Order: sequence, then C-alpha cells, then structure tokens
Amino acid sequence: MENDQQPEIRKVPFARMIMDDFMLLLFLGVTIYAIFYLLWGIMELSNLPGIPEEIKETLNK
Amino acid sequence: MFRTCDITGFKVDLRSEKLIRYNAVFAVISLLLAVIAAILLVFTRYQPVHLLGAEWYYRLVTFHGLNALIFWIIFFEIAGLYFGSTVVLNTRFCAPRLGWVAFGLMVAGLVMSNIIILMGKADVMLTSYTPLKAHPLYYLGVILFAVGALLGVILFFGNLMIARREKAYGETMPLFTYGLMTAAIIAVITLASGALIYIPTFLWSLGLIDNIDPAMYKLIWWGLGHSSQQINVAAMVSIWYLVSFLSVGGTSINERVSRSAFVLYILFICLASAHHLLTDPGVSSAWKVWNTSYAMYLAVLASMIHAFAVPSSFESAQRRWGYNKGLFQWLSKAPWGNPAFSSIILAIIGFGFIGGTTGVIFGMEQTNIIVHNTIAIPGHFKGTVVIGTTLTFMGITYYLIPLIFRRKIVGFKWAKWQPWLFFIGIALLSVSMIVLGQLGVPRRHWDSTFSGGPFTYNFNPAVDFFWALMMLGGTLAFLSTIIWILIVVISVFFGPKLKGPADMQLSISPLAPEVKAHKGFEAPGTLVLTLLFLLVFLALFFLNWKWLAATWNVN
Amino acid sequence: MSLFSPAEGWFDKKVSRDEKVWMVISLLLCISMFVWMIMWHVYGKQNPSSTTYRTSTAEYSKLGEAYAKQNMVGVDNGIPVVRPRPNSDVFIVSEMWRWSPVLILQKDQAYKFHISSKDVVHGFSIQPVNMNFQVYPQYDYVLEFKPTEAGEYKVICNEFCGIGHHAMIGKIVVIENEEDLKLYGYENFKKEPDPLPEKKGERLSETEMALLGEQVYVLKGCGACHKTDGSSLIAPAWNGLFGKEEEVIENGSKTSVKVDEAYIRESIKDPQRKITVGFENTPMPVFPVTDDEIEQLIAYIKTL
Repeated sequence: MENDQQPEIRKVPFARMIMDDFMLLLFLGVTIYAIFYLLWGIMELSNLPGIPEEIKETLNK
Repeated sequence: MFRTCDITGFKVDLRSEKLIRYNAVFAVISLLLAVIAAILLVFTRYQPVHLLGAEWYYRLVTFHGLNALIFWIIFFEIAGLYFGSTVVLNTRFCAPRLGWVAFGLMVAGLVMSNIIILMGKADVMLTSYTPLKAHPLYYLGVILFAVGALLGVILFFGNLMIARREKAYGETMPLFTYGLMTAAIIAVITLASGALIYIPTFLWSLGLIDNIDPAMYKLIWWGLGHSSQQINVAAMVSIWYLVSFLSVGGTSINERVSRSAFVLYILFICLASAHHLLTDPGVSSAWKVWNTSYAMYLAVLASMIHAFAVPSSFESAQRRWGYNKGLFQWLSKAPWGNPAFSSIILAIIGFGFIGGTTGVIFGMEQTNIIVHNTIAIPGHFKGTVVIGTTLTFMGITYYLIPLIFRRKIVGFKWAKWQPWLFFIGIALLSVSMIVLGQLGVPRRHWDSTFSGGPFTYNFNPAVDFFWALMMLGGTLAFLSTIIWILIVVISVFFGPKLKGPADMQLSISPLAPEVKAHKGFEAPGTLVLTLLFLLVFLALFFLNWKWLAATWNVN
Repeated sequence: MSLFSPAEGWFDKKVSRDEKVWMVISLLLCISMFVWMIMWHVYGKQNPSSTTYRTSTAEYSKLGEAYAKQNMVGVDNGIPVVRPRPNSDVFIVSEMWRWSPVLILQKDQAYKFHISSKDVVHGFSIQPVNMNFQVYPQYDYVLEFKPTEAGEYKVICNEFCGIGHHAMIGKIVVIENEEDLKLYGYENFKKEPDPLPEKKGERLSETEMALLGEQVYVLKGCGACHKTDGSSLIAPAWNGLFGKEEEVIENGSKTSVKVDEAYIRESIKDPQRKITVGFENTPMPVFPVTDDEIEQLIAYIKTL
C-alpha cells in the first residue's frame, strides 16, 4: 500500500486482461467457430463437382 | 427492490428472483413431459413389451428430444444465468420487463411446438433433417423459444455490463459467474446458428423456398444442436465449483488454471459439432479432423483440467478442515448426507467415466464409423447430459428450494436417496445402450426384427440381456425423476416457509481455513482418481480402435 | 470463492505440483490423439475419406436403375442381385423403404460404392460388421470398400426416414469361391449379366410383357411397399389384385372401384387421387414410369 499522491499505475498482464474481458471473449468465440466450422464447411459443400462423364458413360453401353 | 438474504448475506433483486422462479418452474414442467415420454419409449424399444406403435414411437422420440435436450435444460440455464449475474454479483437486473418478454416467448414456443408434435404434424425427430418436412408451426415454435432464450442471454450480458460499470465485483468476476459467462457465449453461438438454419427451413415449410440442401442443413443444424449441449458442460462445471463452495467451503485451487480452461471452452468447444458429420459425404477429412478434435483437443484439455480442478477443490478444502488421513479420508468424511453434494459427486463420476470417455472416442473421425447412428450414441449422451448435467441441475435445486423459493424441502429423507437411484438407473441405461450400439443395434428404430422387410437380421444374442438391463435402468431413472419432481413441486408450492438459517436442511459451509503455501501435492487423492480415469479411458480407446481395425477396409 | 471475486494475486499464484503433473499428462494425451487420427489416414485401413459428387435425385435414380438393369444376374425377394467386377463402380440406391441392389462381392477385392438416396436422408449400416455411413439425396457418396471376411451381411437403415424405416433392409453376400453361392440359394444365377436385348419393333407377347413387368417391379422399387405374398403393411399386396373390388377414398369420401387397367394406370400416374382404405398414412409418391413400363406392370400384375 503506497502513499503516493498520484493514482497507482498497475500493469495488468495482457493475458489477464483478455481473460477478464467477456465481450472480447464473446467475439473470439463466435469468430473462431464461424470461420473454422461454418465458413470452411459451407465452402467445401459448395465446391463439389458433378458425377464425371466417364462414370456415366459406362452405364450407357 | 432488494432483499438481503438472511442465510447467505447476498443482495437479491426481487424482480430477478421472480424471473428465476418462473423459469425454474417451467424447466421442471418440461422435464416432466420429457420423462413421461421417456418411459413409454423405453418400453417400446424393449420389444417383449413393444408398447407403442411405430407412429407414436417416432412421435414421442421427437417430443422427448425437444423437451429434454432443449426446453428442460435451457429454461433451467436461463434461471441460472439470471442468478449468476444478479444475486451473485449483488447487483440489479438490467431490464426485468424484457426478462418477461423472453419468458413469454419461450413458453409460447414450448406450447406451440409440443402441440404440433402431439398432433402428428412434426414426426421429424429433434434434428428434423431435410427433406423430412414438418408443419410450419413446429419450426415457428422452436424459433420463438430460441429468440426468447437469446434475449435472456443478452440480458445476462446486460447485467454483467451494469455490474462491471458499477464496480459491483472489482475487476474479476467470481468463478461461478465466469463459468456461466462461458455458457452464455456458447449460447450465443448456439442460438445464432439456430436462427441461421430454422428461419430458411421455416420459409421452406411454408413453400416460399424451393429446396434446402440436406448437407448444408445438417452442417448448420449441428451448430445449434451440439453447441447447445456445450452450454450444458460449462453450466454444469460452474455448478460443480458452486456446490464445492456451498457444501465444504472449497474453491478452485488455482483460479488462473480453472479460468483458462473456461477460455479454451469459449474458443474451441463449438468446433466439435463436426463429430456429427464424420461419416458424411461432402466435407473433407481435413475439416473433419481439425474440427472434431476441438482444435488439437485443446477443449478436451480444458475438460481434463476441470476433471482435476473440481475434485481437488473438494479435497483441498476437506484437508484444510482436518480430514487429512491417507488418500481418501477427505472423500469418505465428506457431507454425503447433503443431497446436493452427493448429486454432484455422482454427476462427476458418471460424466467422466461414461459420457466423457465415450464422447472423445466416438468423436474421432475413424472410430465414429462403428458407432454412427447406432444406439450407442444416445447411450453416450445419456452419460453426459443426463447423468452429468441433469443430475447436477437436480442437485443444485436442493439449494434453490430454500434459498430462492424460501421453502423447506418436503420429504428430505427421500431427497438423500434420490441422487443414488437416479445415478444407478441412468448408468445402467447408458452403459447398456452403448453395448447394444457396439453390437450394431440402430437408434431411432421401431423394430429390430425388421418385420415387413424383404430380409431379416438377428443381432448377437447378447443383446437380449442388455435390452433387459436398459429397461431396468430406464425404469429406475424414471421413478427417481418422478420422486425428484414430486419433492420439488410439493416443497415449492406446499412446503413450510423457510424462516431463517435454522430451517436450512442442507448446510452451507463456511470458507475452509487458509493454510500457508503447500509443499508437495495439494490433492493426491484427486491425482489417483484422475490417473484411474486415464487408465479406463485408454482401455476403452484401444478397445474401440481394435474393433474398428477388425471391420472391412474402407477408404 | 466460487461466489466471490478471487483474492488479490490469483493470477500469479503458483500451480501446485500435482495439478501440473496432470496438466502435462493431459496435454500429451491430447496431442497424441490428434496425431493418431492423422496417422491412421496413412497407416490405417478404415477411413471415411471419400469422394463426393453433386447429383440430383432424378439423375441418380436413372443411373442406379441403368446400373441394376445392366448388371443384374438374378432377383432375391423382389430386389435385383448384382455381382460387380472388382474395382468397378457399384451404384447403390436407397429410398423409402429399401436398399437396392443386393450385392455378391468377392472377399479381399475392392469395390467403389456409390451411395445416394432418391428421397430423404438414410443411414447405410452394414451388419454384423457394424460400419455406418450417412446417405444423402443430391449427393453421390463414393467409398471404396474391401470386404475382409466372407459371409452374409445385411444393410439396415439407421437414419429415421419415415414409418417404414424399420422394414428397410438390404443384403450383401461376400464369397470366397463359387460353392459359397449355394449357401444363399444363388447357385443358379447367371455368371455374367445378359446383354441388353435390342429394341424390337413388333408387339411383345403377354408372357414377354409380364417378364418385363417383373423387371420394372424390381428395378423401380415397387417391391419395397407392394408385396406379392399377401402381406400388406405399407401398401396393398399385388397378388390377387387384378379384377378385385377395392374400397378407396376419393375427395374425402369412401367409394368402391374395380381394379382394372385404367385404375392401375391412374394409381401410378396420380396416386393421391384414390387412396386405398387402410393406407392413408403411407401415401405413395409419384414414380417416374414410362407408359410402356406401366403396360408391362399391368401384364405382370395380371399373372399374380
């Protein structure tokens, strides 16, 4: 307990600041999920080819 | 606006308390609906009885899923979120009127979807995979419920912001509230995914949209479906820390460790919805492996951290109370007569050994092949959401009745036994379903003799024994749930009013005495238990991979 | 503390030795499991890695039917039996409520299964080997299977697909040598599928029409619901059907019709117009059937 005239300047560790900031955590949680699960998954499902002609040809003989 | 609790000393916003009570009551109503359906389903899958016909079987599977996994759990969690963001922080509820709007939406959703299901217009299972189509009012009911729940979650964050601004809790919120905050963030992910999928599907059911791609549907739906269960994990673990505090005056032996574990949940736990798509076409193995592993199993690491941190919070406190003899005196001399305590310990054991192990193993990309859509899957999740979350919620209710409803618990002698009966019932149910599934028995299936089909198939004769075991377990679980509901309803509505601390039947422990810094191991008993857990996990792990290797080759 | 803010210095508190030990063990386990899954792709023989093609239910139905017609060596319980060549593409069709075709496979040979659905999502579950995969309409799921043990296998459906879900069951037999076929009653099947007949200009005889009708019955999936042995759980049975007086519901009221050529034609093209009493809960979907095929079916039904 210092007897300074000026207000205490405490250095809060960066990691602790993140842990205490619930709005930042909300943002990170939503973003990581949206990118890795949703966007990546949707991209893969949207880029599928059709059944190749060679395979369809074998059934037209 | 406030009352000061004469038992705990907390400042309770009366408007918040009313909201907590109403949400809790509707949670119990949902559980009653769910469990009535459950016993009928148990006696249908138990084919010597085969109680329901095919139509009502599938109808009640849908009904049970919605009421158990969504309505019971989320109503209870909303009550918990309000509690953790107002009472625990000694602060006011930010907008009670909106709280009632949220409640109204949730009740409207519950009523609408349940009626539509019972009318036979939504026999689509909780998952409602397109192209299966239900009546538009089914989807609307779920949407209304989800919007109400999301509003409740937003109010939770509103409460936190007020508390932070008014410096109600200093810089760091209490651990219990921190865990609930984790749950609330996961809830935002859950409900946003729900909106993303249910709104187009609702429009499709009205004929306004042509086609809902079935693979896209399943991908986005499980963003709602599994994440909703991860809310439960966070809420459940938070309550475990809470009960440690209330029953033995314990707390996490290292707050940084416990909070970091919650942060890992926030960042990665929702990725694992991918484990529902492991044997699906469309998405690549890279996507599957990264997501199903919760990002290199970092969220599983979080669970394993809690697996040590929670029991050690009990052990450390008990040792400081003087129960220091040997490895386990802290456990044998623990307050087993406190039904909240016994519920939590049983929930930890059940969730860890049954639900957690099977969850990780079944959720690996390749081992999923031998369990996908078998009855091992519901067997797994009864080992998490029923023996874990539900038993935990049941346990904490024994404190809610005196503290929030201000009533004495009627039938306290029954309350002491109820958690044990429930645990044994669900353990039997869950384990037998897992075994049946590993023998190939399908889930959501009315007749495992395939009558009416062009061929028939006979499962390994061992299934008969496990069907009987499942039936016994389910019956025991049903009875113990009814006992719990009766205790709660009778106490809350007809029980003698609580007049003061002397009327408390469950003790609230003072904080365990501080000791100087610890040399050596702080919780050796817990370390032994976690190592035992590790052995069981490894045994199941190698067993399942061995079984996988014995199947046909597939690539 | 769980209900109170943590004490000052909580962030800097040293982690106790036992918790540290456990965290290190856990981290090692987690990384190992991640690496294990990846390594299994290299060294393991069971991976759900697949190729997926986009398709439509119409396109895949046509392909599945053409495949069965081209490669049929026999019929089992109304379902075509196919004996694919090793390393060839096999087209499996799922629909409410049957799997088609039945397969005869050679042990230790690889086959490229194409799996898709004509209607809703289904669950491809091979028992007793207990391998389970999800089947979608609009997606062609290509998985390469290599059966490692001979025997009779059943394909059950384990994704809810409607009221007939439990009756949806198919068959795969895996043989080591030709004598094994006797175990399944398949010894009289053709070794190779017949070459497809050339299209004839003249009228076919009643017998030929009936045989073609039986083929349509088998290929189009009528047999999934309409049985020929009198059982009628999902749809009216076809034996003894022609010429019968049937009670139907038309525009909400009950009436009686005679099952003649015109009625059968209407029932296939517009199945919802008259619904047979007792089957209101299992409405028949519209199947793409040509007029010729309808006539062949009629000829077949007359023989039952």
